[in-house]
Formats: sequence, C-alpha cells, structure tokens
Amino acid sequence: MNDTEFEALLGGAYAEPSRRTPSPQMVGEIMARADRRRRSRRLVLAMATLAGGAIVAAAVTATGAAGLVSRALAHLGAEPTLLSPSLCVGVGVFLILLVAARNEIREF
Amino acid sequence: MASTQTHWPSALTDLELARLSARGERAASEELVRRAAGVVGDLLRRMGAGDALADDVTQDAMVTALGAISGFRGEAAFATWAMRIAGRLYLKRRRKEARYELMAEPVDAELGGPSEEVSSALRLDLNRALARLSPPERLCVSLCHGAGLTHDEIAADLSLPLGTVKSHVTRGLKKLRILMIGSSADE
Repeated sequence: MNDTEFEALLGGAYAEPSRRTPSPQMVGEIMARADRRRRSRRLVLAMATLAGGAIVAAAVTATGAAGLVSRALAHLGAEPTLLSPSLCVGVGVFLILLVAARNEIREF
Repeated sequence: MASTQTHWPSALTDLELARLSARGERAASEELVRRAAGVVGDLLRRMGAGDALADDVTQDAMVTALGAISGFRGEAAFATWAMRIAGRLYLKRRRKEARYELMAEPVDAELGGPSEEVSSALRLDLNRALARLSPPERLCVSLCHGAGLTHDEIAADLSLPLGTVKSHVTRGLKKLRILMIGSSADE
C-alpha cells in the first residue's frame, strides 16, 4: 500500500459513521441555539434596514423642510445663507470624540 | 403515508437537506445534525478532547454550520464540512495548550507491531492506533486527515512554523501506518 492509498484509507476511517448517535437533548439544544442565532441575525438586519431608511427619510425631510423655510424667509424679504457643511462635520467629529473619551474613561 | 412523512428527511441527500434547511425547514436541519454530530464528536475525541469539550465544540460547530448552510455546495458530505469547522473551532479553543504541545520535543516511543491483528473494524484500529501517538501527532494527523485542514492552515491558526506541523504529521502518519497495517512506507 502506497502513501496515497494509506491516506485515502485513513480519510475514510475518520469519516466512517459514528456509533454514537447524538442525544435528543443535544439536537434540541443545537436547534434552539441555531434558531436564536437566526432570529438575532434577522433582528440586526431589520434594525440596520430601519436605521438606513430612517437616515434617508430624515435627509429627504430635512432637505424639503430647509427648502420650505428658505422660501418662507425669502418671501419675508430676508436673505437666508446656507450653513457650511464643514461646521456640521466638525460638530459630528466632536461628538464622536466625546463618546470615545467617555468609553475610555469607563474602561479605565 | 404517515410514516413516509415522518421519515422523509432520512431519504434525502445532504445537499437537498441543506437547501431545505436554508429555507428554514427545521426537520431538515435536525436531520443534518443527526447525520454529522456523531462523526464530528468522534473527530474531536480523536484529537484529544474530553467528552465535555467534544460535546461543547460539536454543538458550536453544528450551530456555525447551520448558520452558514446556504454556503454548503455539496462537494463533500455535510459531516465532512462540519468536521472542518469543528477542527478550526477546536484549535481556537485550545490554541494556547496546542501551541505548547506542538512546540515540545517529539518523543519516539517504541511502537512494536500493529495494535492487534489487522481487522475489518478499521475505526477501532484507528482509535487504538491514535491512542498510541503523542498528543501533538494525534492532533496534527486528525486535523489534517480528519478535519481536512492543510498544513498551512494549521500552522497559521496556531502561529507555528510550517515545518513543525509537517514533521508532526509525517511522524504521526508513519506510526499510524505501522500500527494499522503493520508496515512503513519505506518497506
């Protein structure tokens, strides 16, 4: 018997059906865990979809609202100027840093 | 008819069951678990896991396999696929001890001849022969020829030199050959 034949024999021996059948309790536990995992995956996916949709909806609403306000102000004779987006980005970064610092302090 | 309905999953192939399982058919998932859990547990015990650890890792492997069931292509049996997952999970669990064992100097024990007469019950022979290997040899041979991991994968998972893994596999195979069929490749 050469090496290849022996290794094939060995692979077959490892894959032979087991004499131990899994207990119904074990099968039940595996199924329960798999179900929990599947449900939590669905929940995360649903929440991510919801969050994504909410962000898009908020952006569309905010744009519409800003247009309305802008037109109303123009109607009143005022000259609205657009806020620089860099200011919003700056506030966002500041808030992220604040949260990161809070987490670090909590860990410490 | 009722009995056909009760036993329908056992008549299906692993791939058919996997497709049904991916669609959320619970009976198909249960049948896959019943088909694979025993052989996965056997593999883990052959690697050196105790009963409790083997059961624990078997459960983890089955849950992981069912979670990724849509990726099962049926190129090999579901049990073979699950054995590979179990091998990696076992390595992850026992990374520290396995590294320590594998880095230890190999011990050349006196093997003698085949454990018993070469019998048709190869599984029994394999278990007996594996019991006479050193723990690192048993682990490496089982990961390689049982779980189907490559030498590179084992070395990477344990952060060990490739040569160390290869030498344990080679030594283990040589001993197994003598123990199981009573001859070495050189003869």
